[in-house]
Amino acid sequence: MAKERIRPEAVIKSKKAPFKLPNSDGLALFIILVLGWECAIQLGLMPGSILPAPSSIISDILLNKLTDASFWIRVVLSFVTLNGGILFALLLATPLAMVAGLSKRADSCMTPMVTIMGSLPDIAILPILVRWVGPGMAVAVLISSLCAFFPIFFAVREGVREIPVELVRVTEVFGSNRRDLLRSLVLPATFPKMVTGLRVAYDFVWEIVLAIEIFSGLAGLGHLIDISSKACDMVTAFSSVFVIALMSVLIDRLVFSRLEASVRRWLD
Amino acid sequence: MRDYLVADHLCKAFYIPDGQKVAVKDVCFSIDEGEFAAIVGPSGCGKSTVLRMLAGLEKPSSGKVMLNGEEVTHPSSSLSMVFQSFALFPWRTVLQNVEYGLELRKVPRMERRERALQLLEYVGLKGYESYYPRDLSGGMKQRVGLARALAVDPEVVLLDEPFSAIDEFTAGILRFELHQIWRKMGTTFVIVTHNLSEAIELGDKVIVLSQAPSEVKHVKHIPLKRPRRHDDEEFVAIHKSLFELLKEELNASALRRELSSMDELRRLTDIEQVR
Repeated sequence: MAKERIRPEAVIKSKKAPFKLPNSDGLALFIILVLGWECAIQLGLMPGSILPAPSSIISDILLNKLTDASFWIRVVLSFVTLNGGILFALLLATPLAMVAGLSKRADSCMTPMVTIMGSLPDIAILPILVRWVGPGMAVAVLISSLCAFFPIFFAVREGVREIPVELVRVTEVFGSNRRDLLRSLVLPATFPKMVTGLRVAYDFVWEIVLAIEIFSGLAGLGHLIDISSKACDMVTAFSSVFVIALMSVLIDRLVFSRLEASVRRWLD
Repeated sequence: MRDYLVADHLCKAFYIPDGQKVAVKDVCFSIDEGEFAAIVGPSGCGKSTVLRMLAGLEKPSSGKVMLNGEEVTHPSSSLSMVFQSFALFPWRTVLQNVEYGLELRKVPRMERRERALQLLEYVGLKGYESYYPRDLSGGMKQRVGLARALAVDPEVVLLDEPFSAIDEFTAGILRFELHQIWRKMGTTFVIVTHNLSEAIELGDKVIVLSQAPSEVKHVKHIPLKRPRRHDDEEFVAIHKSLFELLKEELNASALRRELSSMDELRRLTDIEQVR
């Protein structure tokens, strides 16, 4: 965790995490690389049909993809699969992890099995699930929630186990029931770990969503990259990759950076 | 009221892998209403366990705790507690921490805010309402802990080594303030400490526990006028007599036994070398 100390006065004023640009050195290197890439294609060092120039990717997105409804449907489908999987995993893993964290007995029943299942590469059971459920949104959401389950489960379980016993006593002294204990202690205490678990889960699930779209031809951005590459439409393939990268960055900046900033206000 | 808070033959045994360990054997004492009682004993004697049983946080293996004629079986709304490690919620601001007990007891929002602000002023933390615990010093954290305990209008305040994680200078100031708060409020205070001077400075009576499995070894009423000075002649005399008692307990403790057996071994080997 970052050890940077923030003065309380400053913290109270800046409630919102500002939308930060990457630092200037990082930005400079990025611009140099993109310019080099552009020059290499404009000078004919690399054929644009294999590696499209950044300018043609940007113009393709702005001129063609933005007005293309089928492209937007693909974006939305990938996004829904991704977040649907995360949501199901969160709803399932959080209560189970809390039970495992609070009760030694439940932990010794559950955790060995969860550990073994978690160490299995999820792609391995993808064909089996497709056979069972049939190719479609359902199997995509299923496998992504399976994939997101483990990082969230282990993070939340660790968070619960790290709750100091004295804090539990405080809630007991003031006469809290089980609901109060959960609401006023377990949930806020595990929140930082939950954010970490979710961040890891997002990275995993993006990969699995794209993999299943490619594997079972499910309409989404992964599928678009697959078919356009096969049809030698490299501009569309690269535009899709660019949009995926943009979505990841936006999720990171708009969701996780803010959640982490709200935790950093109080975390030691 | 006499015999307001009573420990009636308290016994606590813990189960450990190879059997059972008796931490508290037979502890009996009684505390009057409005009294300031101090419990001292050698480290590891189970004084904190006794306090937790008084709070209803731990069930005695046998015996019972009586408060105002009623048996304490679970944490009651008339008791509150201050912890050695402060036990503040790091995600709550100072104000929200003080409001915590009131929140769980369903006090309306405006009322609990008002009460919490009042208490923060009382413990000298006005202006720190929106700080998070990590930005406070140990002494300030314990002031918050105290404010949180007092906010619920308790009839008994239990303090579990409240100043032992704080530097001695700050602890001295807090001790004095605690004494003033107690005088002003007139509620019953029970402090557990391993600091004998602290016990004598604050307590109307000092309850000395024996080493584990613990019993009450001695109850000493402290007749000194308040505020008490550590260099007062009578203070020193009381300290000396109680210290002798504690030292006996330390001499009997397992650690000391181990050390003395090592001494003995050394003596034996010395003798052998002389031969």
